[in-house]
Parts: sequence; C-alpha cells; structure tokens
Amino acid sequence: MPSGSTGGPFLAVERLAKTFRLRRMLFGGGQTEVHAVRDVSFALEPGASIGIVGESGSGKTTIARMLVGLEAPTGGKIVLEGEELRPRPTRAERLRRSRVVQIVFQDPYTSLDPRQSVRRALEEIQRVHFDGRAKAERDARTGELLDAVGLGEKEARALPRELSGGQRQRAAIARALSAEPRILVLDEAVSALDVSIQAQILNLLADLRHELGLAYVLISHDLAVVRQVADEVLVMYRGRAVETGPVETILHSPRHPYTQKLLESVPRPGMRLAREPASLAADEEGCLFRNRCPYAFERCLEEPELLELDAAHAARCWLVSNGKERSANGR
Amino acid sequence: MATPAALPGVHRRRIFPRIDAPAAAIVGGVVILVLVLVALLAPLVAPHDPNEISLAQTLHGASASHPLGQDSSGRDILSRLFFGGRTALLGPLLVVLLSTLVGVPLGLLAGYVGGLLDGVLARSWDVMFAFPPLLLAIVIVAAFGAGFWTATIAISITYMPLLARVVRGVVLVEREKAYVDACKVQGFSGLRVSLGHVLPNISPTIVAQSTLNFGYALLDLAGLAFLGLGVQPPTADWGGMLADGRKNLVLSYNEVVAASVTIAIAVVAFNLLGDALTHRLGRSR
Amino acid sequence: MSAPLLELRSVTTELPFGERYWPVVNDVSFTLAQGEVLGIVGESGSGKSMTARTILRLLPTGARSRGEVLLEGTDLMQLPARALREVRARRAALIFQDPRAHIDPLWTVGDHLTEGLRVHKGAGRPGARRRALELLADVGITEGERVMRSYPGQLSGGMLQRVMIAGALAGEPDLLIADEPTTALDVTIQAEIVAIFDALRRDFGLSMLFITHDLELASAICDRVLVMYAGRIMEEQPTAALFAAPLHPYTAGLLNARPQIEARHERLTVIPGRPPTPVEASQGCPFHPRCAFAREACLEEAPPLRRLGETAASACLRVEEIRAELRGEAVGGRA
Repeated sequence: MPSGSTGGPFLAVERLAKTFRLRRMLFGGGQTEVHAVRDVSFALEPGASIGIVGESGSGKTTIARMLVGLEAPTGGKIVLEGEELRPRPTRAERLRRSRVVQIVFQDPYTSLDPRQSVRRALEEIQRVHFDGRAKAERDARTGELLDAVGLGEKEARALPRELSGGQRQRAAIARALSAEPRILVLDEAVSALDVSIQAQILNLLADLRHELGLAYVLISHDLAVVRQVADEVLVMYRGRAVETGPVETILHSPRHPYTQKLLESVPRPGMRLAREPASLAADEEGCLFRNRCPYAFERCLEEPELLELDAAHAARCWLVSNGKERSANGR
Repeated sequence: MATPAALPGVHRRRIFPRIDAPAAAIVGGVVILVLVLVALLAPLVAPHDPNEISLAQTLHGASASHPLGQDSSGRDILSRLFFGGRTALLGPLLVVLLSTLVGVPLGLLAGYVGGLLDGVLARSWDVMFAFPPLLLAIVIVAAFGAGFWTATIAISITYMPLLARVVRGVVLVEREKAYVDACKVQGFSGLRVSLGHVLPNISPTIVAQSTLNFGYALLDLAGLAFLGLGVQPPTADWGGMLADGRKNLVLSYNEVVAASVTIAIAVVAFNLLGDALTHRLGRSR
Repeated sequence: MSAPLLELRSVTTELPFGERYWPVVNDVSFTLAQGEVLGIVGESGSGKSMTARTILRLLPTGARSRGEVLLEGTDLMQLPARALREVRARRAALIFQDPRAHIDPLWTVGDHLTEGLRVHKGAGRPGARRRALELLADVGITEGERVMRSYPGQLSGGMLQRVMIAGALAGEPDLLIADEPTTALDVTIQAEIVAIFDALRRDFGLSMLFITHDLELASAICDRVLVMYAGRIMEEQPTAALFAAPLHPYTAGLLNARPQIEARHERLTVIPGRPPTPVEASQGCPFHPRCAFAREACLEEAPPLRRLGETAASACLRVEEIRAELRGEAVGGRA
C-alpha cells in the first residue's frame, strides 16, 4: 500500500475523454470538434510500467498531458493515490500532484529552460517543494540526483545549449525526479535520441525503476522501446484504446487488426513490402479503423466494445467476439 | 541532420563568421559612449558657458574660439551642443525606463495569462495605435503644459503599448515551449513561471527593442522641443537649437546643421546597436 | 559489370564553424549501380545528409567541397548552374524528410504536379493532368482527382510524401535520393512508403540512394548499406551480410544497442560516449574513443576504407583479427 494513500487505487484512469473545440478560421463562426481521447481507462500499480502505443493523432500524448495536469479532461476522471484530480486544482493540490507524477518530454532541445543550469533547476524545484530543507541538505540531494542520472559537476553548471542531446535528456530526467515523484510519464522520451544514446537512456530508466521503485507511463510509437520498458500495453487508434494486455501477448499474438498492422510495419530485414492504396476516408461512426482494415465487414459500421479475450487481454474488434481465428501472429 | 544548431558545446552564434553585425554594433556603441561622456563632462569639455550671451557676435560663423560658430544670441553653438546632450539623452533614457516598466508587465500579463485579459489589453493598445504617437504626445503636452518632464512622460505613454505589443508577441511564442510546460508540471505558480523563466528568456528581445526605442524617442523628444513643447529656452537642447536656428536660416545655417547632424548621428548609432542586437537574437534562437 | 550510375571519388565537404573550416563529409568514395538501392546509415552529425546534398550541390552557404561526383561519367561538381538545374529536374530527384516544408501551401497538389510536367516535359495542360494522375496511381493514390484538388494542408503527412514522390517521378529521373523520407511519418505509413519505393525500383528499375538513421529500415529496402560516422564511411556491405557479420565495431555496436521486439534485455549493450560533432577534431580513427577494440595503432591516423573482397569494405584497422568477435557480439546481442 503506497504511503500517504487514502486506500484507493494508485493511479486509475476511468473513461477519460478529451475533445478539443477548434474555432473555424475567418468565416463561418462554427466550431470543429476533435475527439483526441475517447473513453480510455487503465490502472497502474506502484512500480508497474504501462506502454501507450499509437501513431500521431491517436491521443497518446493528450493522455500524457492530462496525467500531469497540462490539459483538463472533458470527460471521465483521473484518480491518483485515491484522490480524484480536479480540473481547477488549488495550489496545494497542484503541488501534491507534482510530487506524485512527473513527465519527461520528447525534445531535449526545448524542454529545458535555456537560461537555467541543471544545478539551478534542481535547486529551484527543491525550494518550491521542500522548503524545510536547509541549503546543505538541498545541495546533497542535488548531488544525489546528478549521480543518479550520470551527470558530473561540469554538466551541472552548464547551460542546456552546452550539453549534448543525451546529456540534456539526463538533465530532464533529473529535473523530473527532483520532486520525488512515484510515477514518471515518458512522452516519447527516447525517440529523438541517436541509437547509441537511446540505449544509454533506456538502461538508465531501467536502473531508476529498480532503485526508486518508480512506475512508468511510457508513450511511444516504437514497439521495441515499449518491449524494453513496459509490462502492460495499451494500443490506441484515433483516441480509442483498441487493444490492451501484457506486453508479450500484445507483441506476440496481437488480435486487433490495427495492432497486427503496427507489428507488420516494424522495419526489419526481409519484411513484407506490399503496396497498399492510400485512403482519404476516416469515418467517425462505427469502428474507427474500418477504412484501413483488411477484414472489415458489415458489422464494423457499429462500434465494437473492448472485448475480453482473457483476464488480461482485450481487443476492440468484432472478429474477436465471433471467435473467428486468423493467423494472428504479427511477425 | 548535421544542423549547426544541434552541435553540443558550440554556441550557435559563433558558427558563422560575422563581419557586418559586430562592426555596426561597435561603431554604434562607441558613438553612444562618446555622446554620453561629452554630455556628462560638458562643464569640463565645453569651451564656453552655454548660456553666455554675446549680442555683439550674433550669428557669427566658425572661429578659433567658437569652432561651430554662434547662435542668434551670440551663444557658443558647440557648448550648447555639449550641454544639450544632457536633456537630449536623459529624456529618451527616461522614456525607455518608463515604457519598459509599464509595457513589459502589461505584455507579459497579456501574453502569459491570455484569454479575456489579453483581449482587453490588446484592444486598448490597438486604440492607442490608431493615433500617430507624436500627435498623441502633443495632445498630452497641450493638456498638461509644455516642458521637459511633461514631454518625457507624454512620449513614454505613447511608447508603452509599442513595447507591450512586442513583449506579448514573444511571450506567446515562448509559453508554448516545452520547458514552460515542464515548469507547470513542477507545480510552479504562474508568477514564478512568467517572471522566473519566461521573462529571462525574452529579456534579450526587450533590450534590443528598447535600444531601438531610445533612438526613436530621442527623435520624438527633439521634435516636441522643436515645436516648443519640450525643453524650454534658454536650456540648451538639440531640438530647441533646431527651432532657434531655423528662424535665422537665411542668415546662418550653422546652428541648424550642427543640431540636425548631431541628432542624426545619435539616432543612427542607436539604430545600429539595436539592429545588431536584434540580428544576434535572430541567430541565437 | 557495367559502369556505375553514380560514383563519388574522394568527396570532402567542409563547413565554416567559428574561425575555420571543418569537414562534415570526409574523403567519401562509393558507387551506385544502375537499378541498385544503396543505403547510407548514420547517427546525427555523421554526414549522411550532407553527402546527399553534396551530390546535388544543395549545400548551405559558405560550404565548400572537393572531389568528383560522377553521374554517368559527368562530374556534377564541374557543371555550370544551368546544366545542374537540368540534372536536378530530370536525372536525379531529391525527396526530403518533411514534405510540408518543401511544398507551397497555396498551390493545389494538381498545380504542383502539373507545373513540373509542363515546364520540364513540355506537356500541354490536359496531357500534364493525365500524366499527373498516372504518377499518383504509381504511388498508390487511387483517389487522384480528389487529391489533385486538395491543398497540402488538407492532406496527411503520409499522403503528402506520396505526392512528393510522384512529383519527383515527373521528370523520369534515373536516380532518386531520399533523405530520411519516412522519419516524420507513423510506422504504418512508413511501411507503405517503403513499399512504394520498393515497387518503383522493381517496376521502373529506379536507382536509389536511401539515407536514414535507422539501420533496420535500411535493411528492409536496401541492397547494400554504407555506415557513416563522423563524416567517414566506416563499413560497406550487402545488407544481409552486414546484419549477419558486421565488419566494424561501430556497426556491431549499433546493432546491439537497439532494443528488440522479440525479448526484453536485462540491459542493452551500449556504445559509451556520444558521436563527435564536426568541430571535434580527433587524431586517428574517429571511433576509437568509444571503441572496445581500440589499440595504439588506432590513434595514429584515420584508417582508410579497405576493400575486403568483392562487395565488402571496412575502415577498421583490426577488422581481420576481431571479425569473429564482432560477429559473435552482434549475434549474441540479437539472440
């Protein structure tokens, strides 16, 4: 049982939804609604790791932003340590959330204040969150944080522009850890890094999880990275969760046609290269994937539920309920 | 891929050799420094008392003791230029300070908070932009009386929305950056994020814009003095000298040329420096 | 073997950083045969994109290059600007990473496609339209009429990249240079675009230079791969051989560093340190500071790319001694 918890779940996301209302330009004062996230639910235990997978427009980044309070949900709720997060939090609530959930962004070139050294950033966060700490105590903690992410004194004093991409991402992780959160949201946190640097950061994340008992919410389009970091996977398509389950199950026997396509698309030697027609259609009714789905049939005009395959594995596809077996192995 | 910006440990502004920008900045800076020094040390370097009237020598041309000649009251033009620099430079300095003091917080507020507040603020300075600034200043001076202080305050008021608008623009860009989101996720208050993080990052823009504004304010204040609405005679002032010299232009052009060339040099110097600063910002972003 | 379509001989490109010129492409030589798909793989700052840009002389201001770039025997380095434009329009087309940055947002797709056809091919308006629709069909766009009427802003990134490829095909080039053409796209769209490239080379015998940071992506489409590091070619091999038995510690390191979908690793094998920037001059092999196999000899001078048999080449001094280890490491890492 997590300390300071009121006994409810550690992190529970229930029927979360976000609709952006965009004003039309210049003429016609109407609004366009964009359903970025539709009815997404998942839960996270302390120390667990969930991967949210999907392409651009799938809503995965919007979920990340709602988890850390950068966007307010338009439906559903987020429960953190038994406490439901409110759309307009008080200062105390905001600070409390900051000490539970933090985020590491994709682009280390824009996510650090260009005029603040790593050391000063860590110092400032401690002053805001732990104002009882004496200067010596803060310095000691800053040293620990820098050690934990593998940055030296020289890098700590440097401005972000004097650091390499990998060093900046380490700095961003140290900053996220300063408020001593229990959940780290990794929003494509290794996608912008070179392969050789990406491996270093992935190892660091594994170490931190082991040492600090952190829980991760990994937002990524890269299935290999998801395999390396996550235990559970949530596959998103156009705002909907289309398949959920343990990472081995999802990556070895995907049941939703979209997950299958995702896996078939991973580049590798000798991959099947089949030219497919590009479609402009993207219907809002029924199964959202049906315009791109090779198995689509009449029933897909109706929206399927997330159907359980077993206790851990569920997919939002009519074929699953029909018990129709396909060669579901994506590899 | 090999974009120069992505090189760690390399300051982007050092990547390409620049010849034009620093040279212009140095010329501008040196000219400004000389003008400021001369104005400050005027009692020491001026050959005469600027208000020493010599009715026997009105409108005399250049001579050994009066290198730029004498004005309609026989006063030494060079000495009046030196002393005139005091009001001519102090005025714009006050304008820049006052407009920054009010314009920056307003721009920051409008840009960072946004929403209804932004709408109200932006519309209110749009209204002010509908009037030519000098005209607006003249109205203010006409209402409160001529003089150095009213002229300076009047010009400051017309410059506030100018700066506020520039600041709002850069804040709108800055607040979308991921580091601002990262600060918000830390639970930082709006005040801490806007003053502690956004403001330092837009300060180079404010400095560059203020330097440019200095030159424009100098010109505007000289304009008001020329119209008799600014610094009042007999206090020496470049704009006032221009007005004084104009009356006797057919007899002697010394005073007009001296005052206008000085004003032009000062304005160009501030523009060079301001442009160089803006230029450098453009490259380092 | 017939004469190569494209041959680079000792090409060096330098950019001014601070007080002096630094090489971003360093003594690069390779050939590309008619109908071949050659991959150039490297991390940021490896010089792969600059190599592509050097070929068509699309370099940033202040850059200078030397060496020879022979396109069917003509040295593009010596070509006057006018003739070079002709080459870019009709013989060697370039496709960029971000299609949105390279298409005029105020023109419809139809305008964009037909302009090239009318200017360079002298086609009439109806002829150009017909041809544009054919080109769109070649890149898998069935709703050609509708796409032609669309503005770039109305199309997805994947659709737009298809349009850019169609545009590149309009001049019927012999060579397509694709610079990270799928990096900005989703994985499923990437697979579709790669399939289009594959079909183009099979249907039209198009030769391609495919530049990417993703070794696995290169392996899916390329016949042969060059691995670049710090502006130099480290290794050259047919794709399958490169994956099975890399001939440079850097390639072996890259293969090991990637996480795998099949299984989670306790720890990934990392290459320590980071790739050098062009302004970090190093004595000897550019990879030696990060290399587990480095010996004193590696510090003396940058080893040249040495041929090892008909199709392979390596810039590692010790490749003969450590060959088995590289292979073992790469295989071990992927098990």
